[in-house]
Amino acid sequence: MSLIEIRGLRYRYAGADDDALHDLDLTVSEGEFVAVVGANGSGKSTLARLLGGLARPAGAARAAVCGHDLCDHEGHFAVRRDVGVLFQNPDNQLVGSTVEEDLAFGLENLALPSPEIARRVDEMLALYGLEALRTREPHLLSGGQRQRTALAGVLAVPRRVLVLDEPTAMLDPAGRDEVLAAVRREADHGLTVVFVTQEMDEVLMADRVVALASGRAVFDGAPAALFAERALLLSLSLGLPPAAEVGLALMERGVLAELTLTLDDLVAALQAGRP
Amino acid sequence: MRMAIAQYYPRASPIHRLDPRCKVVAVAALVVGLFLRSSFAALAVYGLVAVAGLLLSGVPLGWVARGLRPVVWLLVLTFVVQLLFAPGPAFYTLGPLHLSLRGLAIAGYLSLRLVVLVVASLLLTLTTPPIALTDALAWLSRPLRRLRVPTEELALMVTIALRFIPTLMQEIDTIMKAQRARGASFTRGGPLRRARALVPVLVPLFILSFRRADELALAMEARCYLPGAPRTRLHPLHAHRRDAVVLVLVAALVVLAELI
Ligand SMILES: Nc1ncnc2c1ncn2[C@@H]1O[C@H](COP(=O)(O)OP(=O)(O)O)[C@@H](O)[C@H]1O
Ligand SMILES: [Mg+2]
Repeated sequence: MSLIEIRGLRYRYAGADDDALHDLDLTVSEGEFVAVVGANGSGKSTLARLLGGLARPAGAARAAVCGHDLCDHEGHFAVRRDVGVLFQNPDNQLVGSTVEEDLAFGLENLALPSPEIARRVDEMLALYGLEALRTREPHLLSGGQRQRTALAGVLAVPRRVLVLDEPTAMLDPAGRDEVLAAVRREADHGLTVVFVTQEMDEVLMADRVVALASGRAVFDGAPAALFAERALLLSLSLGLPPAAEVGLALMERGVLAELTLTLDDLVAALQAGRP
Repeated sequence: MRMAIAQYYPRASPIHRLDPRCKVVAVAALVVGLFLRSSFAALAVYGLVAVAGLLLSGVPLGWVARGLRPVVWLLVLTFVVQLLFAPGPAFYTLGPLHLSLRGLAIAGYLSLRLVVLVVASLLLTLTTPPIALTDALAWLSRPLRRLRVPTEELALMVTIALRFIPTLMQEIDTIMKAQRARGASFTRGGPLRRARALVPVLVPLFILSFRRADELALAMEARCYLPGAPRTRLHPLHAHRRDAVVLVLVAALVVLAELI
């Protein structure tokens, strides 16, 4: 079943003289992990906002997300209940004065009874390893802890789709690993994920990758297929995952026969070729 | 970076446990009582109530003294002005200055009243987390909703503003460090020059804040926030019998102070 079914989506910012998204198609099935890549200004964040019901499309032949019509006034409000969006800067997403207050924010907005909010908050604190930080104030958390809190806050409201807009761009490597591990776990538990990223090794987490250029989808396929299209990558000003860059250099020197994308594959290939 | 305002001092004391609404009403009653009647006896009663509250709260006295620091100058000024300019027969004259016993009494009374006032308010802010205080004020101003005052939204606004104060402080610190690395000085020169040195700090701060407001609004909407829609709370306010007892006790003491 497709949770996201979009055909011919268009969006234009007020006052802009061109569309930020042109005639965009996107289909995402339940449980799928889709990466969205593209240069700065290619429309990734705009797409993330539209998917989360935080803006209304200018038009679309079809714009169904979790059974709601994004173009519909009611629909774009209703979709906020099912689609969670995590943004880049954790500082600008934490509303609560403490970690637990922040996890409660979405549930409070749904006007759930207090004991139910408390139960769900406890559950999320445990799941995200934040129990010890329950009453910690946001400015005293590390970057990774902040973004993990923001993610737990987004998912405290049970969601069917998680949209991430470059969630690790402002984190140090340790914080980035923390957040990616949490995303990985949610995906493994069957959550549908749309992951906007500029990091090519994050693309490798996805089942499928969609590349945007000037508001149009110019690629839709497996990550390995995207990385095989060197000309396209170059035109999108995208690189390769770090391990693949090394693999490519080794290939050019004749050490490797074919390109490997992940560190594990690279190590395996090198060990297999060892005399 | 330390903040100038008196901060919450977390502790499990009987005063901390009181419903914040009860504390707001009790302190308001003390403050109004203090202004209704000018007598040393009434002042003594209110002073004892404030001191008893402080002792029960278990907040270290050093912490309280720090909260009093911002009003020290006001205190000195009040005392000196009253002492010098209050009318009455002088007991000591030095040139144009003449000090009277009545002046001394008034100066003493007004300064002590200021101290009691500040200690009573500190008792509230030291034992109540800011969010609880905001919640209490929102609840107490509920009747204003009839006049279409968006009290809940205002309370949330204040809560968020409080949440961002330390973040802004951190940002100011970072920007100042960056400017210092480029040779700026915030301590050199007269007040005008120092004020001017702050401009390159405040401009990026404002720009950051506007972007922050946009992103925060989006993140709040993404978490199903709709202004005006009914909300519930993780920690709703709960009044207990002890709150009623405290209110009755405070009411009795106010009546006593006004009568003696
Ligand atoms: N608030 C806005 N107002 C007007 N134009 C905008 C706004 N936000 C983004 N844009 C424009 O829309 C296009 C897509 O932006 P965006 O979705 O943010 O790209 P990305 O996230 O891929 O960097 C860009 O050309 C950008 O300049
Ligand atoms: Mg973006």
